[in-house]
Parts: sequence; C-alpha cells; structure tokens
Amino acid sequence: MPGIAERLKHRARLYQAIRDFFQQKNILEVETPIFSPFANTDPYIQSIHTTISGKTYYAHTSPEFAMKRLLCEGSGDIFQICKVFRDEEHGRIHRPEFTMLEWYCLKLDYKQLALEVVSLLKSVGIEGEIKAFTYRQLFQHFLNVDIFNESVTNLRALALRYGLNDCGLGDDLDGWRNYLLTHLIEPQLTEHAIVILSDFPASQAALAKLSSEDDRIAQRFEVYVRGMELANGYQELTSPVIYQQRFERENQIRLQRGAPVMPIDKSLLSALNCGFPECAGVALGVDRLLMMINQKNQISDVETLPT
Amino acid sequence: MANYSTNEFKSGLKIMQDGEPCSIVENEFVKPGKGQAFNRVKIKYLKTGRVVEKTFKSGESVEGADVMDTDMQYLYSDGEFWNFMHPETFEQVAADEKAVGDSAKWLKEQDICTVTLWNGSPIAVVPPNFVVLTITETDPGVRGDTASGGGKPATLETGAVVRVPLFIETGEVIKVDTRSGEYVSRAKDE
Repeated sequence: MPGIAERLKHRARLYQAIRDFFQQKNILEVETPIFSPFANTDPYIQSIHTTISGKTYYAHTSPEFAMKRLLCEGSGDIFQICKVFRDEEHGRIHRPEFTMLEWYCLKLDYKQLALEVVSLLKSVGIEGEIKAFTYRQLFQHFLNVDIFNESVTNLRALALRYGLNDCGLGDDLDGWRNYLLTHLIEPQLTEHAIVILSDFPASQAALAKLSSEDDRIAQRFEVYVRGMELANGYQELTSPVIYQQRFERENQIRLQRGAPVMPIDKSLLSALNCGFPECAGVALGVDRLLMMINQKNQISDVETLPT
Repeated sequence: MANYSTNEFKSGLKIMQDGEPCSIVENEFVKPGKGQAFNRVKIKYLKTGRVVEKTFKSGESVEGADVMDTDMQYLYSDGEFWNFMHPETFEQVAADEKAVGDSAKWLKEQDICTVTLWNGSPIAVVPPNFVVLTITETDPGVRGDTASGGGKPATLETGAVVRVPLFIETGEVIKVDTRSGEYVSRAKDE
C-alpha cells in the first residue's frame, strides 16, 4: 500500500507529541475498560453492543464515564488516548471506530481548557489566528439571527431562504439550529485557522453545567480547525442528581424517536455520590487532528489500514 | 422495490424523489459536535439530467428506484421511436425522443449503447464513447494541410455536425468522441 510507512510515522509522532505535552503538565495517562454493561444515553450517538458470556455489553462511545469514576477516586488530572466506537457514523470525516483523546483538568475552567486545547494544537504544529465566538455571536455574525430567541418557524424560513430544503425536522428547535450551523455556518469557518465556539444553548448542554448567571447557557465549547470540528468540552456537571436527570431526559428523547433506551451507568452515579471534583473536560478527534497536521482532506488518508 | 436508509447512501444508488427515478451523485455525512446528523446529497434526476442538492435527516428511509443500466444494440428508428435490442435475450425496447435526447445524433445501427431502464422502460440512452461515422457533406479538402489549426464543419451520416481538419473529404470515415463531440482521427481499417 502506498504511503503506509509515512502514515505510521505521522501517527506515532503525533502520539509522542501528545504524551510529551501532558507529561510536561504532570497529567497522568490512564486506561479504562472498553466494554461496559451500561451505555451512553445521548440520543444522537448509537452504541455498538456485543454479547460476552451471554450478557450484553456496550463498547464505549467515549471514555468519559470511566474516567469520571477515576476522578471521583481522586486521580487528579488525567488523559487517555483510545479507540471509541459509534454505530451509523461513516463519511469523509466519520468512522464507526476512531481514536479519541480525552482529558480532565481540575485546575481549569472550561474557557481556560479551550485555550489549553489551543496550546496542544500549537505544540503539534497547528497555529494561526484564533477567533472566539459564543454560540449566540456566531449566528449573529454569519446569519444575522438571535439564535436564542428565534422560533422554529423563523429558522425554517431562514433555511429555505438560503436554498436549503425542509428535511423534516418539524418542531425540533435544536435540529434546525444544527441544520443551519452545519450547512450555512461551518462551511464559512474554513477561512479561519482556529475557532473557539462556546456557550451553547442549555438544550444542547449534554453533560455540561449551565451558567449560574444565565441558565439559558450551557458551559460547553467546541474547537474548530479550518472549519472542521475537532474538540468538544464542558465545565463538567458535578451533581449526581442532575446527571441522573440528564440521562433520563435523553432516554425520553430516545423513546420519542423510536431509538432503543440505554441502560444508565449506575457505576458512575454511585461514584458521583461519593463526590466529584469541580473540573473541565474535553474530547478531541485524533484522526481529524492527523488530517489537519498533514493537510489531508479525508479520514481514510490517515487511517492505518483504510476501511 | 426496497427502501434504503441514509446509512446505505452512496454514489450510484438509485432512489425515488418526487415520483421520479434519481441517482445519488455524491453523499456527505454531516454531524454537529452534539445532535442530529444529516446526509447532504447531490441527486441527479435521471429523466432530465437535472442535479440538485438535498439534505436528509440521517436515519430516514427513502424508496429505491428499479433502475438498470443495460448494454443494448441500436437497431433502427421508425421516426417516432428508437429501437434497441438486448444482444443476449433479444428482448427489444422502444425509446422515445425524451429518452434519447441529444444522443440521437450519434446513433448508428448496430452500435452498442447504454440504455437506462426504469421499471423496464427506457428513460435515457448514452451512445458509445467513440463512434465511427461517414462524412456525408463537407467543403472540398485542402491536400497536404495536416498541421494548420483551422478546421471546417462536416455533416455525418447520422446528422451530427462536427469540426474536422481541412484535409478531410466527403465520403471519408472518421472517429468521433461523443462525450465532447470532437473529431478524433480518420477511422483506421481494423
């Protein structure tokens, strides 16, 4: 296969650079199990499951839950590089199996962590002008709408005005927001080296805390490099009660969408009950980072053995 | 006809849209950091050739179209229909003007064409990439001029008009690229 030696070297060099970055900051590398009897409830992420000795196990979609249990145990700052698995995701920059870098910092808040992501990018050779937008500013800037206050009707009209079709999102407000973001805004972010997008609507909080000053805002960020989403981070929720509420709400959405309800991670909930430290966490797509470093246009160009 | 989920989308897949058979030209999976994923596709309406961009919510299903590209031999035209025959089953189909479209000017009896069948009926005809046709009319040739960049129109036996080099004469047999409509060479005796 042409270029395999190069590809192996590029990947090994990147892993080494990432490990150097964390070693300098005294952040511990950890390993956690891939299989669990519990799963991610996120309605838009589908777990891959298998049977082990007659019992159903789910491959992790990110090492988040297991790493959070380590944080409860007093691990301090930790990072992990591992393969994660997501069904029904395949495309130019998506694979059902891909490599994730996930890390947690007790000393930083989510905005500081976003800047720490930028330092990591710099340490592996990705530099350039940094543009920071809040979710609200981003939509104001590119589409001239107040995204926190626009109705479904108006967002639909806006999409059609830009020549998009009604793809059947109905009254799914966040669906329309995502439609506009992915189809009209992200293509314009390719002009920017690095974009930090923060302060998402509370309805897209996932497992991020809401702002104590404005509960319409989730303390969540994403980092884009030349228009491609590379990292997603949170000011992590700490209350086990709120975790349980979010998981149950996500399972409700799954039910409404006709998707299978997922078993909530009881091990995580019981660990959280013993105390979870205030921290910020982030997940970064390593294959996409390799693409950016080596100026490739698709994930198959950096896979060890393309699928 | 089976339904296809967006997970099965890929270029070349034939689906129904607005009651018309279509082919997927390009498929891109698009997903935000959190939330609903989409399939952003380019779709070609096979009857008209029109290409449009359209987005589907990932996970949705669309009806498949029973569309097949078949190599068939062009037999003859009766003025209204162009008749083709499957070279193995000898099954014949008649394509109307809408299906044949611009390809008509390249159709020479016995040539093998690609006929697109939807539910068994022809909706599009693609001629061979290269056809060999006799020139029925062109201005007198200029002998020895094999280099000049100029050229002149020549009418072919099928009615097509192509630009040919000045030295080419009426009655000569030439090879033409049907995709570009350009003269390639004098036909060699093969």
